[in-house]
Amino acid sequence: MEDFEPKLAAFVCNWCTYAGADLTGTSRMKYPSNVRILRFPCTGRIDFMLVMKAFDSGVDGLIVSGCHPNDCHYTSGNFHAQRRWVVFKEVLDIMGFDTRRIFFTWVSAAEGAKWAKVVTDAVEELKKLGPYSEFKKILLKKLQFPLDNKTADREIKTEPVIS
Amino acid sequence: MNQKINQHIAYLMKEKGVNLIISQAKDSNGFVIPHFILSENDIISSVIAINEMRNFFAYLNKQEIKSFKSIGIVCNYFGVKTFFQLKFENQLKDLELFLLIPTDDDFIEITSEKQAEDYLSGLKQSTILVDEELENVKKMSMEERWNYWMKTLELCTKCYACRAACPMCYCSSCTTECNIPQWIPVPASLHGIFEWHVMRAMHLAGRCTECDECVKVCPANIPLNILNKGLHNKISEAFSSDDSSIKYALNFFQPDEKVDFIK
Amino acid sequence: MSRIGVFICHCGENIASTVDCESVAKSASEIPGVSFSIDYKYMCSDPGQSKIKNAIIEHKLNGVVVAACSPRMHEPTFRKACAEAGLNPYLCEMANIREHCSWVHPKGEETTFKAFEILRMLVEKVKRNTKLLPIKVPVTKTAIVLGGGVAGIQAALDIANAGHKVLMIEKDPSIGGHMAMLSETFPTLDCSQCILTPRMVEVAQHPNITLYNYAELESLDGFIGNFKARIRLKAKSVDPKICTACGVCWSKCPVKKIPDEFNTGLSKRTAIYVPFPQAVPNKPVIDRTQCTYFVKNGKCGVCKKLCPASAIDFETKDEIIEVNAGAVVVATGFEIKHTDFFPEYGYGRYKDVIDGLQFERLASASGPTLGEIKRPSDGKVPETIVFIACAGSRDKAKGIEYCSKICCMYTAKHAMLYKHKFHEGKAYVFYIDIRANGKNYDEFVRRTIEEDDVNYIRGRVSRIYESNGKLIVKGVDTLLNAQPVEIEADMVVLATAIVANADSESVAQKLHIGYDKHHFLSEAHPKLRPVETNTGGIFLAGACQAPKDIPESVSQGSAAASKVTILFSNDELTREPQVAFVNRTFPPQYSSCTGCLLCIPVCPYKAIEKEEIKNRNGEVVKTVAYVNGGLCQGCGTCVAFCRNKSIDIQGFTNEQMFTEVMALNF
Ligand SMILES: Cc1cc2nc3c(=O)[nH]c(=O)nc-3n(C[C@H](O)[C@H](O)[C@H](O)COP(=O)(O)OP(=O)(O)OC[C@H]3O[C@@H](n4cnc5c(N)ncnc54)[C@H](O)[C@@H]3O)c2cc1C
Ligand code: SF4
Ligand code: SF4
Ligand code: SF4
Ligand code: SF4
Ligand code: FES
Repeated sequence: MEDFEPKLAAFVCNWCTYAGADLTGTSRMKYPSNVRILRFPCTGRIDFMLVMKAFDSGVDGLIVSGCHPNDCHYTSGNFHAQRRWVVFKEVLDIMGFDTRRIFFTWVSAAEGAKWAKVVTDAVEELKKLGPYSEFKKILLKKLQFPLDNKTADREIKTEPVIS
Repeated sequence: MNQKINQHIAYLMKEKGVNLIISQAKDSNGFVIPHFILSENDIISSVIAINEMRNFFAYLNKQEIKSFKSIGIVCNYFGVKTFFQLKFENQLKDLELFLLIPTDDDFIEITSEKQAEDYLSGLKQSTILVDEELENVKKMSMEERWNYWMKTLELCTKCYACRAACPMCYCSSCTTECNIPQWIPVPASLHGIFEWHVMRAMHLAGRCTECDECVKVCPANIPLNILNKGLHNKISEAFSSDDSSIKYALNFFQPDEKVDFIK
Repeated sequence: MSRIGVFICHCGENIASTVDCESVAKSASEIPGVSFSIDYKYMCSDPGQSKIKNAIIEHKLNGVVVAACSPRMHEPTFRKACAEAGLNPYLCEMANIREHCSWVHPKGEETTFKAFEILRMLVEKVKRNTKLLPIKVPVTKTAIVLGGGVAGIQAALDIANAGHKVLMIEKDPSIGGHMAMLSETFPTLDCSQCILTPRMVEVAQHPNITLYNYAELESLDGFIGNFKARIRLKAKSVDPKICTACGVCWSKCPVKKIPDEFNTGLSKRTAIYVPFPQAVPNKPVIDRTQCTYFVKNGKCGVCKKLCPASAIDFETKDEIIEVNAGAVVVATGFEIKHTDFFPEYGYGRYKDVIDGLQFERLASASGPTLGEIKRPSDGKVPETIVFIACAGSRDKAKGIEYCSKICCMYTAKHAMLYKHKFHEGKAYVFYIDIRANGKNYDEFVRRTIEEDDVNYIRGRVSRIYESNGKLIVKGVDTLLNAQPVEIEADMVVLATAIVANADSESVAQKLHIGYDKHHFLSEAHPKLRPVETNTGGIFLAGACQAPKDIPESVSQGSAAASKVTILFSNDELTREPQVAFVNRTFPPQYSSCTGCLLCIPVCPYKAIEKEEIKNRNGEVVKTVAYVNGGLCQGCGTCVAFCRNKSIDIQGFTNEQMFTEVMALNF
């Protein structure tokens, strides 16, 4: 397992963790390059279905992070997310899914160092756990990218109506 | 009691303008099925024991049934629970409903949420057998659990009978049917099956009435109630501080709530 | 077909030193759907931006990905550049290859590969972006000012002077708030009423201000620019239009024993009353909880018989009016804890233990003693007064950990005023720390100590009890090795804690704004948005947000007013189109939403409402959720919450996020 490089994605909210990760960069701290960061408006937006999809796309682990409780830019998105994770983790646990591979944390916009540590620790932990082959075994053949590329010309789907 | 219910059904149809009663009967294999009473001639006298009774509230979410407007339904504890939850979720609108719950030598009639609430609060449903199975699964190691489910789920054909029978799965367009994007892979391979069951369990978490319809109709005997019950337990354990007026744990939170695994 | 343009920035050496930008650009050009790809030294510079604009026009690009710094830095820059070239700005995305890549990883192939991967994910996302239009919301140029204390008065006058209509709602019969009750104000000792009353009159006479005194806010609906408020005008029983304020009624009213709120209970008032001589508006109201006519149904009626103008009408009822407004300034002020809050200081049993506001009334030239400091118990001039600062404040055990901020100053003022009025008197001040951090504030306290010879003792008072007509004050002096001190005083003044209004929680809920654990109303950001609330269009001024002195309350009033006038400077408001919407395209029910409405409590901004879809005959065919785009702030919590994906959010749609996640494609 020594030279196994885990594949890691991170779902983060725009206002705290994304900014925190920006700060890690501005402070020139270093962390492993295994991670891909996806920006969400808020942890409240992070659908558990998207978490499943991340594992579909082949990650070995996933970081889910946002503003600390009471600091959410939208005041309560993270509180709702938090309850969602409690239930989601339980389904996965009951089903024997390896929830050690999902790293739930809060990283504020000021915690650049914490972000570096979260990523470093996650990569280390995943190196111990090895690739998630049990799950990959059940995956269908991988989707080929691009899925299709004739969609960008479409007009607005729905224009919100203001009354 | 059967006599009394039947008399009341006749009365409802004659005097109260009820034009459909969803009752229960056994088919030739002894399987409990719905029995639709459209006129007094359809009334039959067979008796279904209360613990054998099924929950046919899923029918009430169907447009075809809804158009009867004034409907009676024979049910047990779980029917009342379902009625209450569906009302809370703004379903069953414009329906005049008569819930008929058989008792030892009589029956109870429930027509309003208030009555349903009183009925439910006065009753403690004895926990069903699933507790033991859940315990067993929880005792397994993570690998064992994974293998257990993979073996069990292999039999699932994604027929979605569980969804069709579930009174709380009333979405007119289920996420499984969404193809932009295709959330749940279509083929009935373990991949799609796994995701379907995780999703179903999540969607029912905190809403499931534990009527076990999903289990009863599953041709592959998938123990969905293990998931249902597991999440039910988790929710009452993790969010037990909720006051009783809160009916859905997932659109609500307590100020300053903390979760230990989020560091 | 997608024709995506990819622009890779070197950021001087910032990116290029660890990422091989040239090779990223080359690999990017091979991603299907990418029809243009270059790297450049500074993408955000003018020539860099021109490259983007030219490419958009030349290659008819329908999507742009700029791989450079954080979108939190330059997304607006590049979106603007795209818009200038005729491309909808929301078809432009940024790939963060600086903060999230080049700066945190060493030079090498892996880092270059990661930069390419980040960019590739964004290319896939941008293929699913749609053109979005900024949302326009009309603005009603009328502001509601809730509360007529000095902060509200300042805000109202500033907004009115900028040419906008103001509706001021004050719950009491007169505006003025606490400042009207003060004697003289620190640190200049100018007379409070003398500086305030002209302002109060200005409010009453301003053509742009409508004053609803003796009124309360019933409810507030709507959103920034478009609020609808219901105001309860409490029955005054006197028609202010006819009343000439001759005063016959209140001089003849037989109910004369009501503790006068304005004089903090130190004098009595009648049932029909004007709270104080300079009240604005200066017209009486009947206090129906005390008036004999109302208490003893129909008996009395003296005032009605005597009123020469026939202005009194017992039949008037509370009236509810509806108004439209574009903004709300909340300036509902504060309350203080009263002496009955302190068991150790006698639970309010001792008449001569008073609070700061009572001292203000005693010292006020228009107060019950006409400015002479006299003990409430027997009217004697006290020879020794003990002032206790931090009474209740900074005391965790009392549930008030915070500093009430103004007590140090007014205690110094009180001691000084006492010494000015009665030179032989002895004044002691028990304090924990002296916090005098305003302009000329510390000088003021020093004057009190040094010139007016007030005795400052650092320490807490543990107990007060009465003995032989004196109040025995027991405390310790912590500067003298915690030596016990005992003072025989004639009067004790407690600088009691400033607390939020008792109804602050319900006011916050009516306004849909936040409040902290002490029930002070919450600002949107403690440093950068101190007068805004989390709800667009609602602003805070004065002590309703935290304890404040007059200069601060006034500045915040003006700041809130400037926020309102900025809002009113346009006829329409433009908002980012990152809002949620419930789909309406699913035939035949016009939406896949099941109408479970479980999502309503999820939204932090109460943007989700119930909507009934009707057919041509006006019958309800379906009940669904509806997102009010004016209120939605775009968090997306509802999107992840909805079981059957009936809500989506522009800019971060299910399809976009799904694609981005699947494009991880490890
Ligand atoms: C004893 C004492 C001495 C002080 N001395 C000084 C001093 O010397 N110098 C100095 O700078 N500061 C002094 N202050 C502080 C000063 O009083 C405050 O800074 C100032 O009054 C704050 O103004 P405001 O408008 O925010 O609140 P307030 O004066 O409290 O006004 C709030 C107004 O809103 C109204 N209101 C409340 N709730 C509602 C509602 N729900 N609907 C409608 N209307 C409502 C109230 O009736 C009131 O008229 C002193 C304070 C105290 C207690
Ligand atoms: S037990 Fe099954 S059928 Fe019954 S409510 Fe729960 S999920 Fe639905
Ligand atoms: S599985 Fe979920 S989306 Fe599908 S019908 Fe049930 S609740 Fe609705
Ligand atoms: S949008 Fe979804 S959660 Fe909201 S009411 Fe409709 S179905 Fe229910
Ligand atoms: S996106 Fe957030 S703010 Fe907008 S409607 Fe949904 S929950 Fe409310
Ligand atoms: S914005 Fe960061 S968690 Fe809500």
